[in-house]
Amino acid sequence: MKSLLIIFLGAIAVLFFGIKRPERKSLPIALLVLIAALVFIPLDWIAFIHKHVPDWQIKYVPTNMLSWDTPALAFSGVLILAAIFVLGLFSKNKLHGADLLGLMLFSVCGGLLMTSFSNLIMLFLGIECLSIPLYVLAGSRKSDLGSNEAAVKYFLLGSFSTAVFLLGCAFIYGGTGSLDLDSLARATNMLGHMGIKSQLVMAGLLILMVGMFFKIAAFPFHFWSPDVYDGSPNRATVFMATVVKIAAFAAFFRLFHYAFNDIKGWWAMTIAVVSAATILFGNIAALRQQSMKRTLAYSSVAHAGYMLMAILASPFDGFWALLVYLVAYAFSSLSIFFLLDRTSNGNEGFSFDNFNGFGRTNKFGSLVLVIGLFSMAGIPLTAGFAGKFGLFNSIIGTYPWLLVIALLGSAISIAYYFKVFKNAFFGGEQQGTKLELNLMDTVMLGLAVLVILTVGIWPTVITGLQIIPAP
Amino acid sequence: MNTDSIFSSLDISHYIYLSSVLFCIGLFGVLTRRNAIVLLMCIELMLNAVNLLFVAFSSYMGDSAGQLFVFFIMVVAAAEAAVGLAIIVMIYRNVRSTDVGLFDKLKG
Repeated sequence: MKSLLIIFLGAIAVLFFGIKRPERKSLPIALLVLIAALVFIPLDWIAFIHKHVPDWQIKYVPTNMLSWDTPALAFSGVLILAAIFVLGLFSKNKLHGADLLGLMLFSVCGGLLMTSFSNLIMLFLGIECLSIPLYVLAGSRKSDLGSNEAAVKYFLLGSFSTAVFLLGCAFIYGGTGSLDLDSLARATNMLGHMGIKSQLVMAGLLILMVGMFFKIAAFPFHFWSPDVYDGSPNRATVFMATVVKIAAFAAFFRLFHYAFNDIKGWWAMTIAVVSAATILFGNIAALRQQSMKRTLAYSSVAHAGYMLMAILASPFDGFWALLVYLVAYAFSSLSIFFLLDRTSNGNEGFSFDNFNGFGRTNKFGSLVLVIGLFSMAGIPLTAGFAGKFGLFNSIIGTYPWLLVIALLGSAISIAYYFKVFKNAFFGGEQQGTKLELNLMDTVMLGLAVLVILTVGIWPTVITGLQIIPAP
Repeated sequence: MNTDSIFSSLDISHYIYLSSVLFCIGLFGVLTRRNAIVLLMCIELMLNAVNLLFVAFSSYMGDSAGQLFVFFIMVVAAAEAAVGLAIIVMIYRNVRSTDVGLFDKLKG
Protein backbone atom coordinates (compact mmCIF):
# COMPACT_ATOMS: atom_id res chain seq x y z
CA MET A 1 0.00 0.00 0.00
CA LYS A 2 2.67 2.52 1.05
CA SER A 3 5.02 1.36 -1.72
CA LEU A 4 2.34 1.93 -4.33
CA LEU A 5 1.64 5.44 -3.07
CA ILE A 6 5.34 6.30 -2.90
CA ILE A 7 6.00 5.14 -6.45
CA PHE A 8 2.91 6.89 -7.79
CA LEU A 9 3.78 10.24 -6.18
CA GLY A 10 7.44 9.73 -7.07
CA ALA A 11 6.56 9.18 -10.72
CA ILE A 12 4.73 12.51 -10.84
CA ALA A 13 7.66 14.21 -9.08
CA VAL A 14 10.15 12.72 -11.55
CA LEU A 15 8.06 13.91 -14.49
CA PHE A 16 7.97 17.49 -13.17
CA PHE A 17 11.60 17.54 -12.10
CA GLY A 18 12.73 16.24 -15.46
CA ILE A 19 10.92 18.71 -17.70
CA LYS A 20 14.01 20.80 -18.42
CA ARG A 21 16.82 18.59 -17.21
CA PRO A 22 18.59 15.71 -18.95
CA GLU A 23 17.45 12.25 -18.02
CA ARG A 24 20.52 11.30 -16.04
CA LYS A 25 19.83 14.10 -13.52
CA SER A 26 16.39 12.65 -12.75
CA LEU A 27 17.71 9.10 -12.47
CA PRO A 28 18.83 9.39 -8.81
CA ILE A 29 15.36 10.59 -7.84
CA ALA A 30 13.69 7.71 -9.63
CA LEU A 31 16.06 5.23 -7.99
CA LEU A 32 15.52 6.82 -4.59
CA VAL A 33 11.75 6.54 -5.00
CA LEU A 34 12.01 2.86 -5.87
CA ILE A 35 14.41 2.15 -3.00
CA ALA A 36 12.10 3.95 -0.56
CA ALA A 37 9.23 1.83 -1.85
CA LEU A 38 11.31 -1.32 -1.50
CA VAL A 39 12.13 -0.51 2.14
CA PHE A 40 8.44 -0.52 3.00
CA ILE A 41 7.94 -4.07 1.68
CA PRO A 42 9.74 -5.90 4.55
CA LEU A 43 8.33 -3.41 7.06
CA ASP A 44 4.80 -4.12 5.84
CA TRP A 45 5.58 -7.83 5.83
CA ILE A 46 6.67 -7.87 9.47
CA ALA A 47 3.75 -5.69 10.49
CA PHE A 48 1.37 -7.98 8.62
CA ILE A 49 2.68 -11.12 10.29
CA HIS A 50 2.44 -9.53 13.72
CA LYS A 51 -0.98 -8.12 12.83
CA HIS A 52 0.12 -4.54 13.46
CA VAL A 53 -1.34 -3.21 10.26
CA PRO A 54 -4.69 -1.49 10.47
CA ASP A 55 -7.30 -3.26 8.36
CA TRP A 56 -7.77 -0.34 6.02
CA GLN A 57 -4.18 -0.69 4.88
CA ILE A 58 -4.32 -4.41 4.15
CA LYS A 59 -7.67 -4.34 2.46
CA TYR A 60 -7.77 -1.01 0.77
CA VAL A 61 -10.99 0.88 1.40
CA PRO A 62 -13.69 1.35 0.17
CA THR A 63 -14.51 -2.03 -1.33
CA ASN A 64 -11.63 -4.48 -0.89
CA MET A 65 -10.04 -3.72 -4.20
CA LEU A 66 -6.45 -4.47 -3.17
CA SER A 67 -5.17 -6.96 -0.64
CA TRP A 68 -1.59 -6.65 0.59
CA ASP A 69 -1.09 -10.12 1.99
CA THR A 70 2.35 -11.73 2.19
CA PRO A 71 2.34 -13.37 -1.29
CA ALA A 72 1.46 -9.98 -2.78
CA LEU A 73 4.26 -8.31 -0.82
CA ALA A 74 6.75 -10.97 -1.92
CA PHE A 75 6.01 -10.53 -5.62
CA SER A 76 5.93 -6.73 -5.21
CA GLY A 77 9.35 -6.82 -3.60
CA VAL A 78 10.88 -8.81 -6.47
CA LEU A 79 9.17 -6.53 -8.97
CA ILE A 80 10.48 -3.31 -7.41
CA LEU A 81 13.96 -4.81 -7.09
CA ALA A 82 13.96 -5.74 -10.77
CA ALA A 83 12.80 -2.22 -11.67
CA ILE A 84 15.69 -0.74 -9.64
CA PHE A 85 18.18 -2.84 -11.57
CA VAL A 86 16.60 -1.98 -14.94
CA LEU A 87 16.79 1.75 -14.18
CA GLY A 88 20.25 1.57 -12.66
CA LEU A 89 21.90 -0.53 -15.35
CA PHE A 90 20.25 0.72 -18.54
CA SER A 91 20.20 4.50 -18.24
CA LYS A 92 23.10 5.49 -20.42
CA ASN A 93 21.20 7.37 -23.13
CA LYS A 94 21.57 11.09 -23.70
CA LEU A 95 17.86 11.82 -23.93
CA HIS A 96 16.45 15.08 -22.73
CA GLY A 97 13.55 15.02 -20.30
CA ALA A 98 12.58 12.39 -17.78
CA ASP A 99 9.33 11.25 -19.37
CA LEU A 100 10.59 7.73 -20.02
CA LEU A 101 11.68 7.34 -16.40
CA GLY A 102 8.30 8.62 -15.25
CA LEU A 103 6.52 6.20 -17.57
CA MET A 104 8.55 3.31 -16.18
CA LEU A 105 7.56 4.27 -12.64
CA PHE A 106 3.89 4.42 -13.66
CA SER A 107 4.29 1.03 -15.24
CA VAL A 108 5.69 -0.31 -11.97
CA CYS A 109 2.55 1.07 -10.24
CA GLY A 110 0.47 -1.04 -12.62
CA GLY A 111 2.65 -4.02 -11.79
CA LEU A 112 2.00 -3.51 -8.07
CA LEU A 113 -1.74 -3.45 -8.70
CA MET A 114 -1.37 -6.76 -10.54
CA THR A 115 0.49 -8.41 -7.67
CA SER A 116 -1.98 -7.29 -5.03
CA PHE A 117 -5.39 -7.13 -6.68
CA SER A 118 -8.36 -8.71 -5.00
CA ASN A 119 -10.94 -7.73 -7.55
CA LEU A 120 -10.99 -8.31 -11.31
CA ILE A 121 -11.49 -4.57 -11.88
CA MET A 122 -8.14 -3.89 -10.21
CA LEU A 123 -6.48 -6.66 -12.20
CA PHE A 124 -7.73 -5.05 -15.40
CA LEU A 125 -6.58 -1.58 -14.30
CA GLY A 126 -3.22 -3.02 -13.29
CA ILE A 127 -2.72 -4.70 -16.66
CA GLU A 128 -3.56 -1.48 -18.47
CA CYS A 129 -1.47 0.72 -16.18
CA LEU A 130 1.43 -1.61 -16.84
CA SER A 131 0.91 -1.86 -20.60
CA ILE A 132 0.01 1.64 -21.75
CA PRO A 133 3.33 3.24 -20.67
CA LEU A 134 5.08 0.26 -22.23
CA TYR A 135 3.55 0.90 -25.66
CA VAL A 136 5.23 4.30 -25.51
CA LEU A 137 8.51 2.88 -24.20
CA ALA A 138 8.61 0.29 -27.00
CA GLY A 139 8.34 3.08 -29.55
CA SER A 140 10.63 5.51 -27.79
CA ARG A 141 13.20 5.56 -30.61
CA LYS A 142 10.88 7.55 -32.80
CA SER A 143 12.83 7.56 -36.06
CA ASP A 144 13.84 3.89 -35.91
CA LEU A 145 11.55 1.68 -37.99
CA GLY A 146 12.21 -1.38 -35.84
CA SER A 147 11.12 0.48 -32.73
CA ASN A 148 8.03 1.76 -34.58
CA GLU A 149 7.11 -1.72 -35.65
CA ALA A 150 7.57 -3.02 -32.10
CA ALA A 151 5.32 -0.26 -30.72
CA VAL A 152 2.55 -0.93 -33.26
CA LYS A 153 2.66 -4.69 -32.79
CA TYR A 154 2.78 -4.42 -29.02
CA PHE A 155 -0.05 -1.92 -28.95
CA LEU A 156 -2.36 -3.86 -31.28
CA LEU A 157 -1.73 -7.25 -29.72
CA GLY A 158 -1.80 -5.79 -26.20
CA SER A 159 -5.16 -4.11 -26.57
CA PHE A 160 -6.52 -7.08 -28.51
CA SER A 161 -5.56 -9.44 -25.70
CA THR A 162 -7.05 -7.05 -23.16
CA ALA A 163 -10.37 -7.24 -25.00
CA VAL A 164 -10.19 -11.06 -24.97
CA PHE A 165 -9.31 -11.02 -21.27
CA LEU A 166 -12.28 -8.72 -20.56
CA LEU A 167 -14.68 -11.01 -22.44
CA GLY A 168 -13.51 -13.81 -20.18
CA CYS A 169 -14.11 -11.63 -17.11
CA ALA A 170 -17.60 -10.80 -18.37
CA PHE A 171 -18.53 -14.47 -18.81
CA ILE A 172 -17.17 -15.36 -15.39
CA TYR A 173 -19.10 -12.44 -13.91
CA GLY A 174 -22.21 -13.77 -15.61
CA GLY A 175 -21.61 -17.28 -14.31
CA THR A 176 -20.72 -16.44 -10.72
CA GLY A 177 -22.27 -13.02 -10.16
CA SER A 178 -19.13 -11.57 -8.68
CA LEU A 179 -15.85 -9.85 -9.52
CA ASP A 180 -14.29 -10.10 -6.08
CA LEU A 181 -11.66 -12.82 -5.52
CA ASP A 182 -13.17 -13.99 -2.22
CA SER A 183 -16.69 -14.24 -3.59
CA LEU A 184 -15.38 -15.84 -6.78
CA ALA A 185 -13.64 -18.43 -4.63
CA ARG A 186 -16.87 -19.10 -2.73
CA ALA A 187 -18.86 -19.39 -5.97
CA THR A 188 -16.38 -21.74 -7.64
CA ASN A 189 -16.13 -23.76 -4.45
CA MET A 190 -19.88 -24.32 -4.66
CA LEU A 191 -19.71 -25.19 -8.36
CA GLY A 192 -16.85 -27.60 -7.73
CA HIS A 193 -18.45 -29.37 -4.78
CA MET A 194 -21.88 -29.71 -6.31
CA GLY A 195 -20.43 -30.86 -9.61
CA ILE A 196 -22.30 -28.22 -11.62
CA LYS A 197 -20.81 -27.62 -15.06
CA SER A 198 -21.61 -23.95 -15.54
CA GLN A 199 -21.11 -23.29 -19.25
CA LEU A 200 -20.70 -19.56 -18.72
CA VAL A 201 -17.89 -20.08 -16.22
CA MET A 202 -16.21 -22.69 -18.40
CA ALA A 203 -16.32 -20.46 -21.49
CA GLY A 204 -15.16 -17.52 -19.39
CA LEU A 205 -12.24 -19.47 -17.96
CA LEU A 206 -11.11 -20.57 -21.40
CA ILE A 207 -11.29 -17.05 -22.85
CA LEU A 208 -9.62 -15.59 -19.75
CA MET A 209 -6.79 -18.09 -20.13
CA VAL A 210 -6.34 -17.15 -23.78
CA GLY A 211 -6.09 -13.50 -22.72
CA MET A 212 -3.50 -14.34 -20.06
CA PHE A 213 -1.53 -16.56 -22.48
CA PHE A 214 -1.28 -13.56 -24.80
CA LYS A 215 0.03 -11.43 -21.94
CA ILE A 216 2.67 -13.91 -20.81
CA ALA A 217 3.47 -14.96 -24.42
CA ALA A 218 2.72 -18.68 -24.11
CA PHE A 219 2.95 -20.92 -27.16
CA PRO A 220 0.09 -20.45 -29.61
CA PHE A 221 -0.13 -16.77 -28.64
CA HIS A 222 3.57 -15.93 -28.37
CA PHE A 223 4.15 -14.72 -31.96
CA TRP A 224 4.24 -11.03 -31.07
CA SER A 225 6.84 -11.28 -28.35
CA PRO A 226 10.07 -11.99 -30.33
CA ASP A 227 9.31 -9.11 -32.72
CA VAL A 228 8.49 -6.71 -29.91
CA TYR A 229 11.53 -7.72 -27.85
CA ASP A 230 13.74 -7.44 -30.93
CA GLY A 231 12.51 -4.04 -32.09
CA SER A 232 12.21 -2.23 -28.78
CA PRO A 233 15.11 -0.25 -27.32
CA ASN A 234 17.17 -2.44 -24.98
CA ARG A 235 15.87 -0.79 -21.85
CA ALA A 236 12.25 -1.40 -22.81
CA THR A 237 13.07 -4.98 -23.79
CA VAL A 238 14.67 -5.79 -20.48
CA PHE A 239 11.80 -4.07 -18.67
CA MET A 240 9.35 -6.32 -20.51
CA ALA A 241 11.45 -9.41 -19.89
CA THR A 242 11.73 -8.84 -16.16
CA VAL A 243 9.16 -6.49 -14.58
CA VAL A 244 6.28 -7.36 -16.92
CA LYS A 245 6.91 -11.11 -16.66
CA ILE A 246 6.99 -10.90 -12.85
CA ALA A 247 3.76 -8.91 -12.71
CA ALA A 248 1.97 -11.11 -15.25
CA PHE A 249 2.89 -14.35 -13.50
CA ALA A 250 2.08 -12.99 -10.06
CA ALA A 251 -1.35 -11.98 -11.37
CA PHE A 252 -1.92 -15.28 -13.18
CA PHE A 253 -0.92 -17.21 -10.05
CA ARG A 254 -3.05 -15.11 -7.74
CA LEU A 255 -6.13 -15.27 -9.94
CA PHE A 256 -6.06 -19.01 -10.52
CA HIS A 257 -5.01 -20.06 -7.04
CA TYR A 258 -7.24 -17.70 -5.09
CA ALA A 259 -10.34 -17.76 -7.22
CA PHE A 260 -10.43 -20.94 -9.30
CA ASN A 261 -8.59 -23.47 -7.17
CA ASP A 262 -11.70 -25.53 -6.47
CA ILE A 263 -12.47 -26.08 -10.14
CA LYS A 264 -8.91 -27.03 -11.01
CA GLY A 265 -10.14 -29.96 -13.10
CA TRP A 266 -11.64 -27.53 -15.61
CA TRP A 267 -8.45 -25.72 -16.48
CA ALA A 268 -5.43 -27.69 -15.27
CA MET A 269 -5.07 -29.85 -18.40
CA THR A 270 -5.16 -26.83 -20.75
CA ILE A 271 -2.39 -25.14 -18.81
CA ALA A 272 -0.31 -28.33 -18.70
CA VAL A 273 -0.55 -28.78 -22.48
CA VAL A 274 0.22 -25.10 -23.16
CA SER A 275 3.15 -25.26 -20.75
CA ALA A 276 4.62 -28.29 -22.53
CA ALA A 277 4.10 -26.76 -25.98
CA THR A 278 5.63 -23.45 -24.88
CA ILE A 279 8.74 -25.12 -23.44
CA LEU A 280 9.34 -27.20 -26.56
CA PHE A 281 8.55 -24.49 -29.05
CA GLY A 282 10.41 -21.70 -27.27
CA ASN A 283 13.58 -23.71 -26.92
CA ILE A 284 13.57 -25.13 -30.46
CA ALA A 285 12.85 -21.71 -31.99
CA ALA A 286 15.61 -20.12 -29.89
CA LEU A 287 18.05 -22.65 -31.29
CA ARG A 288 17.50 -21.43 -34.84
CA GLN A 289 18.05 -17.69 -34.23
CA GLN A 290 21.01 -15.74 -35.56
CA SER A 291 20.47 -12.61 -33.48
CA MET A 292 21.23 -12.91 -29.80
CA LYS A 293 18.43 -10.54 -28.81
CA ARG A 294 15.91 -12.78 -30.59
CA THR A 295 17.43 -15.86 -28.99
CA LEU A 296 16.89 -14.29 -25.57
CA ALA A 297 13.33 -13.35 -26.59
CA TYR A 298 12.53 -16.96 -27.52
CA SER A 299 14.26 -18.19 -24.40
CA SER A 300 11.98 -15.91 -22.40
CA VAL A 301 9.02 -17.60 -24.14
CA ALA A 302 10.44 -20.94 -22.98
CA HIS A 303 10.91 -19.63 -19.43
CA ALA A 304 7.25 -18.60 -19.42
CA GLY A 305 6.47 -22.25 -20.18
CA TYR A 306 8.39 -23.40 -17.12
CA MET A 307 6.73 -20.82 -14.92
CA LEU A 308 3.27 -22.00 -16.03
CA MET A 309 4.01 -25.18 -14.06
CA ALA A 310 3.67 -23.15 -10.85
CA ILE A 311 0.02 -22.51 -11.72
CA LEU A 312 -0.52 -26.30 -11.86
CA ALA A 313 1.20 -27.02 -8.55
CA SER A 314 -0.42 -26.83 -5.15
CA PRO A 315 -0.68 -23.20 -3.95
CA PHE A 316 2.06 -23.45 -1.35
CA ASP A 317 4.72 -25.31 -3.40
CA GLY A 318 3.79 -23.37 -6.50
CA PHE A 319 4.22 -20.04 -4.74
CA TRP A 320 7.75 -20.71 -3.50
CA ALA A 321 8.86 -22.31 -6.74
CA LEU A 322 7.50 -19.40 -8.78
CA LEU A 323 9.08 -16.82 -6.49
CA VAL A 324 12.54 -18.42 -6.64
CA TYR A 325 12.24 -18.90 -10.39
CA LEU A 326 11.22 -15.29 -10.95
CA VAL A 327 14.17 -14.03 -8.90
CA ALA A 328 16.55 -16.30 -10.82
CA TYR A 329 15.11 -15.44 -14.21
CA ALA A 330 14.96 -11.69 -13.55
CA PHE A 331 18.54 -11.37 -12.32
CA SER A 332 20.11 -13.61 -14.93
CA SER A 333 18.19 -11.84 -17.75
CA LEU A 334 19.28 -8.49 -16.36
CA SER A 335 22.95 -9.39 -16.30
CA ILE A 336 22.98 -11.01 -19.76
CA PHE A 337 20.96 -8.22 -21.37
CA PHE A 338 23.28 -5.70 -19.76
CA LEU A 339 26.38 -7.31 -21.27
CA LEU A 340 24.62 -7.61 -24.65
CA ASP A 341 23.62 -3.95 -24.49
CA ARG A 342 27.12 -2.74 -23.68
CA THR A 343 29.02 -4.96 -26.12
CA SER A 344 26.75 -4.27 -29.10
CA ASN A 345 28.05 -1.56 -31.39
CA GLY A 346 25.62 1.28 -30.94
CA ASN A 347 22.17 -0.23 -31.08
CA GLU A 348 22.42 -2.54 -34.09
CA GLY A 349 23.92 -5.95 -34.64
CA PHE A 350 23.04 -8.16 -31.71
CA SER A 351 24.91 -11.12 -33.12
CA PHE A 352 26.65 -13.76 -31.08
CA ASP A 353 29.96 -12.56 -32.51
CA ASN A 354 29.80 -9.54 -30.21
CA PHE A 355 30.99 -11.82 -27.47
CA ASN A 356 33.96 -13.14 -29.45
CA GLY A 357 37.03 -13.10 -27.25
CA PHE A 358 35.04 -11.53 -24.43
CA GLY A 359 36.36 -13.98 -21.85
CA ARG A 360 39.99 -13.03 -22.50
CA THR A 361 39.58 -9.28 -22.28
CA ASN A 362 37.25 -8.77 -19.35
CA LYS A 363 37.52 -10.91 -16.24
CA PHE A 364 34.63 -9.48 -14.22
CA GLY A 365 32.33 -9.26 -17.23
CA SER A 366 32.97 -12.86 -18.17
CA LEU A 367 32.28 -14.00 -14.61
CA VAL A 368 28.91 -12.25 -14.78
CA LEU A 369 28.26 -13.76 -18.21
CA VAL A 370 29.06 -17.30 -17.11
CA ILE A 371 26.97 -17.11 -13.95
CA GLY A 372 24.06 -15.51 -15.80
CA LEU A 373 24.13 -18.17 -18.52
CA PHE A 374 24.45 -21.01 -16.00
CA SER A 375 21.47 -19.65 -14.12
CA MET A 376 19.40 -19.33 -17.32
CA ALA A 377 20.28 -22.90 -18.31
CA GLY A 378 19.63 -24.23 -14.80
CA ILE A 379 23.08 -25.51 -13.84
CA PRO A 380 23.35 -26.44 -10.13
CA LEU A 381 24.61 -23.89 -7.57
CA THR A 382 22.83 -21.07 -9.40
CA ALA A 383 19.38 -19.67 -8.70
CA GLY A 384 18.09 -21.00 -12.03
CA PHE A 385 18.68 -24.55 -10.81
CA ALA A 386 16.91 -23.89 -7.50
CA GLY A 387 13.94 -22.43 -9.38
CA LYS A 388 13.72 -25.27 -11.89
CA PHE A 389 14.14 -27.85 -9.13
CA GLY A 390 11.31 -26.28 -7.14
CA LEU A 391 9.00 -26.16 -10.16
CA PHE A 392 9.76 -29.72 -11.29
CA ASN A 393 9.42 -30.98 -7.75
CA SER A 394 6.02 -29.37 -7.34
CA ILE A 395 4.44 -31.14 -10.33
CA ILE A 396 6.32 -34.45 -10.34
CA GLY A 397 3.46 -36.35 -8.71
CA THR A 398 0.65 -34.98 -10.85
CA TYR A 399 2.12 -34.44 -14.33
CA PRO A 400 5.10 -36.76 -14.88
CA TRP A 401 4.87 -36.39 -18.68
CA LEU A 402 5.22 -32.62 -18.36
CA LEU A 403 8.36 -33.14 -16.31
CA VAL A 404 9.89 -35.25 -19.10
CA ILE A 405 9.17 -32.53 -21.67
CA ALA A 406 10.54 -29.83 -19.37
CA LEU A 407 13.79 -31.76 -18.86
CA LEU A 408 14.08 -32.24 -22.61
CA GLY A 409 13.54 -28.49 -23.08
CA SER A 410 16.24 -27.69 -20.54
CA ALA A 411 18.64 -29.95 -22.40
CA ILE A 412 17.91 -28.14 -25.68
CA SER A 413 18.33 -24.76 -24.00
CA ILE A 414 21.89 -25.61 -22.95
CA ALA A 415 22.84 -25.76 -26.64
CA TYR A 416 22.06 -22.12 -27.36
CA TYR A 417 23.24 -20.72 -24.06
CA PHE A 418 26.56 -22.40 -24.62
CA LYS A 419 26.85 -20.85 -28.07
CA VAL A 420 27.51 -17.55 -26.25
CA PHE A 421 29.85 -19.32 -23.88
CA LYS A 422 31.79 -20.83 -26.78
CA ASN A 423 32.13 -17.48 -28.57
CA ALA A 424 33.28 -15.75 -25.40
CA PHE A 425 36.02 -18.19 -24.50
CA PHE A 426 36.99 -19.91 -27.75
CA GLY A 427 35.89 -17.34 -30.34
CA GLY A 428 38.26 -15.33 -32.52
CA GLU A 429 39.17 -11.67 -32.27
CA GLN A 430 36.95 -9.36 -30.25
CA GLN A 431 34.29 -7.67 -32.38
CA GLY A 432 31.98 -6.05 -29.89
CA THR A 433 32.50 -2.73 -28.16
CA LYS A 434 34.85 -2.94 -25.23
CA LEU A 435 33.00 -3.23 -21.94
CA GLU A 436 33.44 -0.20 -19.72
CA LEU A 437 31.93 -0.30 -16.27
CA ASN A 438 31.54 2.57 -13.86
CA LEU A 439 31.23 2.10 -10.13
CA MET A 440 27.43 1.80 -10.11
CA ASP A 441 27.43 -0.81 -12.88
CA THR A 442 30.04 -2.88 -11.06
CA VAL A 443 28.16 -2.72 -7.76
CA MET A 444 24.84 -3.62 -9.37
CA LEU A 445 26.27 -6.48 -11.44
CA GLY A 446 28.07 -7.74 -8.34
CA LEU A 447 24.81 -7.67 -6.41
CA ALA A 448 23.00 -9.51 -9.21
CA VAL A 449 25.66 -12.24 -9.22
CA LEU A 450 25.53 -12.40 -5.43
CA VAL A 451 21.74 -12.84 -5.51
CA ILE A 452 21.97 -15.58 -8.16
CA LEU A 453 24.61 -17.50 -6.20
CA THR A 454 23.02 -17.00 -2.77
CA VAL A 455 19.59 -18.14 -3.91
CA GLY A 456 21.23 -21.02 -5.78
CA ILE A 457 23.21 -22.28 -2.82
CA TRP A 458 20.74 -21.49 -0.04
CA PRO A 459 17.24 -21.26 -1.54
CA THR A 460 16.02 -21.08 2.06
CA VAL A 461 16.87 -17.36 2.16
CA ILE A 462 13.66 -17.05 0.14
CA THR A 463 11.69 -20.15 1.01
CA GLY A 464 12.37 -19.71 4.72
CA LEU A 465 10.27 -16.55 4.90
CA GLN A 466 7.08 -16.76 6.86
CA ILE A 467 3.97 -16.34 4.76
CA ILE A 468 0.35 -16.05 5.69
CA PRO A 469 -2.05 -16.79 2.84
CA ALA A 470 -4.83 -14.39 2.14
CA PRO A 471 -7.31 -14.09 4.96
CA MET B 1 -46.52 -1.35 -25.15
CA ASN B 2 -43.67 0.79 -23.90
CA THR B 3 -40.03 0.04 -24.65
CA ASP B 4 -39.31 -0.84 -21.05
CA SER B 5 -41.26 -4.06 -21.16
CA ILE B 6 -39.70 -5.12 -24.47
CA PHE B 7 -36.24 -5.03 -22.94
CA SER B 8 -37.27 -6.67 -19.72
CA SER B 9 -39.02 -9.48 -21.56
CA LEU B 10 -35.82 -10.35 -23.43
CA ASP B 11 -33.98 -13.32 -22.05
CA ILE B 12 -30.35 -12.84 -20.94
CA SER B 13 -29.23 -15.28 -23.65
CA HIS B 14 -30.16 -12.73 -26.33
CA TYR B 15 -27.69 -10.28 -24.88
CA ILE B 16 -25.02 -12.96 -24.69
CA TYR B 17 -25.54 -13.85 -28.35
CA LEU B 18 -25.60 -10.21 -29.44
CA SER B 19 -22.39 -9.32 -27.65
CA SER B 20 -20.69 -12.52 -28.79
CA VAL B 21 -21.57 -11.67 -32.40
CA LEU B 22 -20.34 -8.09 -31.96
CA PHE B 23 -17.14 -9.36 -30.39
CA CYS B 24 -16.59 -11.81 -33.25
CA ILE B 25 -17.13 -9.05 -35.85
CA GLY B 26 -14.39 -7.06 -34.11
CA LEU B 27 -12.18 -10.13 -33.89
CA PHE B 28 -12.67 -10.87 -37.58
CA GLY B 29 -11.78 -7.28 -38.42
CA VAL B 30 -8.58 -7.44 -36.38
CA LEU B 31 -7.55 -10.63 -38.13
CA THR B 32 -8.31 -9.51 -41.70
CA ARG B 33 -7.87 -5.74 -41.99
CA ARG B 34 -4.45 -4.13 -42.48
CA ASN B 35 -5.13 -0.46 -41.80
CA ALA B 36 -3.98 0.49 -38.29
CA ILE B 37 -6.90 2.87 -37.71
CA VAL B 38 -9.46 0.25 -38.75
CA LEU B 39 -7.74 -2.20 -36.42
CA LEU B 40 -8.09 0.30 -33.60
CA MET B 41 -11.81 0.65 -34.38
CA CYS B 42 -12.24 -3.13 -34.40
CA ILE B 43 -10.61 -3.37 -30.99
CA GLU B 44 -12.96 -0.66 -29.71
CA LEU B 45 -15.87 -2.71 -31.08
CA MET B 46 -14.64 -5.74 -29.13
CA LEU B 47 -14.39 -3.65 -25.95
CA ASN B 48 -17.89 -2.30 -26.46
CA ALA B 49 -19.25 -5.81 -26.95
CA VAL B 50 -17.75 -6.65 -23.56
CA ASN B 51 -19.30 -3.49 -22.08
CA LEU B 52 -22.73 -4.53 -23.36
CA LEU B 53 -22.31 -7.97 -21.86
CA PHE B 54 -21.27 -6.55 -18.49
CA VAL B 55 -24.24 -4.20 -18.39
CA ALA B 56 -26.63 -6.97 -19.39
CA PHE B 57 -25.35 -9.32 -16.68
CA SER B 58 -25.29 -6.51 -14.17
CA SER B 59 -28.89 -5.56 -14.80
CA TYR B 60 -29.98 -9.22 -14.96
CA MET B 61 -28.46 -10.04 -11.59
CA GLY B 62 -29.23 -6.71 -9.94
CA ASP B 63 -25.57 -6.30 -9.02
CA SER B 64 -23.81 -2.99 -9.58
CA ALA B 65 -20.21 -4.27 -9.84
CA GLY B 66 -20.55 -5.01 -13.56
CA GLN B 67 -21.64 -1.46 -14.35
CA LEU B 68 -18.71 -0.15 -12.32
CA PHE B 69 -16.39 -2.27 -14.45
CA VAL B 70 -17.90 -0.73 -17.60
CA PHE B 71 -16.93 2.77 -16.48
CA PHE B 72 -13.36 1.66 -15.97
CA ILE B 73 -13.28 -0.08 -19.34
CA MET B 74 -14.52 3.08 -21.08
CA VAL B 75 -11.94 5.28 -19.34
CA VAL B 76 -9.08 2.93 -20.07
CA ALA B 77 -10.22 2.44 -23.67
CA ALA B 78 -10.04 6.18 -24.16
CA ALA B 79 -6.50 6.32 -22.74
CA GLU B 80 -5.49 3.38 -24.88
CA ALA B 81 -6.94 4.98 -28.01
CA ALA B 82 -4.99 8.17 -27.28
CA VAL B 83 -1.69 6.30 -27.02
CA GLY B 84 -2.57 4.12 -30.00
CA LEU B 85 -3.36 7.09 -32.24
CA ALA B 86 -0.12 8.76 -31.16
CA ILE B 87 1.77 5.63 -32.20
CA ILE B 88 -0.07 5.56 -35.53
CA VAL B 89 0.82 9.23 -36.14
CA MET B 90 4.46 8.38 -35.35
CA ILE B 91 4.57 5.57 -37.92
CA TYR B 92 2.72 7.70 -40.46
CA ARG B 93 5.45 10.34 -40.22
CA ASN B 94 8.09 7.73 -40.94
CA VAL B 95 6.54 5.62 -43.67
CA ARG B 96 3.68 7.82 -44.96
CA SER B 97 1.18 5.01 -44.51
CA THR B 98 -0.90 3.39 -41.80
CA ASP B 99 -0.79 -0.06 -43.37
CA VAL B 100 0.48 -2.51 -40.78
CA GLY B 101 1.31 -4.96 -43.58
CA LEU B 102 4.33 -2.77 -44.38
CA PHE B 103 5.85 -3.70 -41.06
CA ASP B 104 7.62 -6.95 -41.68
CA LYS B 105 11.21 -5.96 -40.98
CA LEU B 106 11.42 -7.96 -37.76
CA LYS B 107 11.52 -11.63 -38.63
CA GLY B 108 13.21 -14.82 -37.58
